[in-house]
Amino acid sequence: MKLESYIRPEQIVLSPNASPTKQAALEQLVDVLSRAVGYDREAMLQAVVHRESLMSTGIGQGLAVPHVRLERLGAPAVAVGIFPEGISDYISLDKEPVRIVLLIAAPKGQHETYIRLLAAAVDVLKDPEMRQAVLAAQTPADVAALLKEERK
Amino acid sequence: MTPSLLGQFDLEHLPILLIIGFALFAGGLGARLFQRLRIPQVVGYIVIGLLLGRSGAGLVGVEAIESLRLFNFFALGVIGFMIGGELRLDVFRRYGKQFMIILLSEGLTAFLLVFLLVWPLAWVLTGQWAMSLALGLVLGAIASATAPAATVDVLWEYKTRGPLTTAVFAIVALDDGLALMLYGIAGSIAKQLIGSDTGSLAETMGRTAYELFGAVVLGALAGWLLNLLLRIARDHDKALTFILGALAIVIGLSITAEVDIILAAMALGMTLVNLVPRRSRETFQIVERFAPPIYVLFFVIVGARLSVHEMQTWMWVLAGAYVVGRTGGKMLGAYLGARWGRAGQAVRQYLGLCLFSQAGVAIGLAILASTSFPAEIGNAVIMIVTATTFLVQIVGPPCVKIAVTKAGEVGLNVTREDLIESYTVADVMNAQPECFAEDDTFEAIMLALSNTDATTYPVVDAEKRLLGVITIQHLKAGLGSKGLGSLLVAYDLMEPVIDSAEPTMPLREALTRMSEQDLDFLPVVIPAPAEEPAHPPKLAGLMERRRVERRLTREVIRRQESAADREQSQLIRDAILKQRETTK
Repeated sequence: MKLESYIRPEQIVLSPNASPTKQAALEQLVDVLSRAVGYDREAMLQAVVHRESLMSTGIGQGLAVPHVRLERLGAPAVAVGIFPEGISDYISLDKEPVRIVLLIAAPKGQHETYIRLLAAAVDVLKDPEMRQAVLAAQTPADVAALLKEERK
Repeated sequence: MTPSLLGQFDLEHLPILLIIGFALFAGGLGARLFQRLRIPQVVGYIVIGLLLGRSGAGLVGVEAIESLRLFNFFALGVIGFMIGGELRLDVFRRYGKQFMIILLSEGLTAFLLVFLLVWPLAWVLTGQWAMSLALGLVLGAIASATAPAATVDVLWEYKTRGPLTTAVFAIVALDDGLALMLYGIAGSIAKQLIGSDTGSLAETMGRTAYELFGAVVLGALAGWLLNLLLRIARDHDKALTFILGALAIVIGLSITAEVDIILAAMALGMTLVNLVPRRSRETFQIVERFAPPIYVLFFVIVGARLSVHEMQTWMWVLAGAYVVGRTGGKMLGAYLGARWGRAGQAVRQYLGLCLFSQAGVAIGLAILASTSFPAEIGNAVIMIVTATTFLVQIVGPPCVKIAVTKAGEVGLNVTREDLIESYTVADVMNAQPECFAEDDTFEAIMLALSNTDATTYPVVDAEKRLLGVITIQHLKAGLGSKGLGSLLVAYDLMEPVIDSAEPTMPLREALTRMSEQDLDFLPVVIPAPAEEPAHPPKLAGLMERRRVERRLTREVIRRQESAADREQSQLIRDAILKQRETTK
């Protein structure tokens, strides 16, 4: 499972100077993603928020991977949010502020794809150099290019 | 209508083929009716015959019966042939000494008691010494037979297993053979007693021996030759032709040589079945498929020939004596035989109760008697046996049921399928399955997994409402990658519930649903009350295919062991008794 095939520049949010709340950041990503895949925004947001209420998806090292499975979604989709200033109220395992958010949505029936996509996302951004490069990127296109490069 | 047309419909002179056709139809319908009443269909044919024949409508008159004489001989041959096919020597050998003792005891006691009751009674009632003796002998021999079909049917219906069941199977399988032998001997003696030839005793014995051995030799020889022929004739049509040809030749030669027709045909069948047990099975199947109309016609004619008006009071008295003697004889004989044979308590106490049923062989022998004895005896035998068959077929099966119930052998022979039919989902479900909450972490789930042997875990909310299920199959996808653990909770891993069962659902239905949808499990839920349809239903338990299978297998084994225990304890008892015997 490659993350790159799900990365699209128009699904990348770059907010170099903002320091949004977790709710605002998630809403921003849901806006982008729901529009891109043509899914009901409220339904997607409600699912994402419900999932976060169970356990925060901040996994440390400035990384968060909120994820949901949605009914009647056509195919898996990913939105990326880059917030170099950090999201202060995003609870994370190592208490580090979350700076990179990968929102992953998958259709309900595609459990395996979903898990593998999650694993691939974590895998790619585990690399500190990759994280730094992504945070330093100037445009969504740059971010997309970086993520698509992946490791050889 | 003109008089000539009317004349053609003279009831006394219907064309013989019309009579045959009518008899077949009416017989078939009668059999169905009687089967409904759980009375053997043979009785149905005979009753139809009674209604059509001399006792009833007079449709099948004396003339018609006379012109069907040849057919009768042939039918007797077919019946003998089929009975012979049942007499396999290996079956006799298989059931060792114990069963032979019980068999001889119950058969001979029934024979003796009936003989000792009927002979003097008939003598007093009719004043004919020799005829009464003959009647006693013939009825005694017939009394020794037990009908396997109705008896075994009860054992199957109640899924019995244990020493009593084994004994019943053995005895009913063997005692037709005993009855035939007894009849062969008693019948021949009886024939000499009342025959016109009033020769010396030696002459009588010689004549009997010739009739018996002649028939056996003729049949055996024909069987050996037929076997050679059947090796060449592989296809069914040719085989059937040869078999029927051989039967006709044997019957014809029997008539010419004045030996017993049915015995010769029996020897033919018996030779065939014992020469080539496996290949001859097919031979008998061919004849069996072809035989029903012959039986129907034959038995209908038997009924038609009877005249109920001739069933005089003394016959009713003898019928009563026959039932008393036979029932008492079977009970006493089975008890004594079981004691002598060192059978267990259950067999001693209850075997007799299982041996009342009487049908095919008894009626067959009665019919045989009617063809080979003067009408006086022949009709009496048929009347008595037919009337008593009615009675014992109604009383017999319930007695078998009582016996096996008291012996505690009911329900011990269940199969997996039987259990499935009798269970509901609630009987086999796991009522306290390991459950997860939506926010249980991956680590918690893995821990639970390693501590339980389930493969499926329901995910429920605080009120135990079913939200989804987690299966090991699903978890596997997440196992490979490090770092995912901290990202996943039960909510991420659960899948929606495809189908569910309710506790009251029959297990059969639940299992069918599972296999139709290829599911390994089925959550069991209490349906949501009507006022809150939007909520998911509450979880009542979980049905996992693996666990259900194990549960069923264990239960089948438990019941089988219970049956085996009973047999075992009997074996041990036998061993102790033997030990005591030797130390004496």
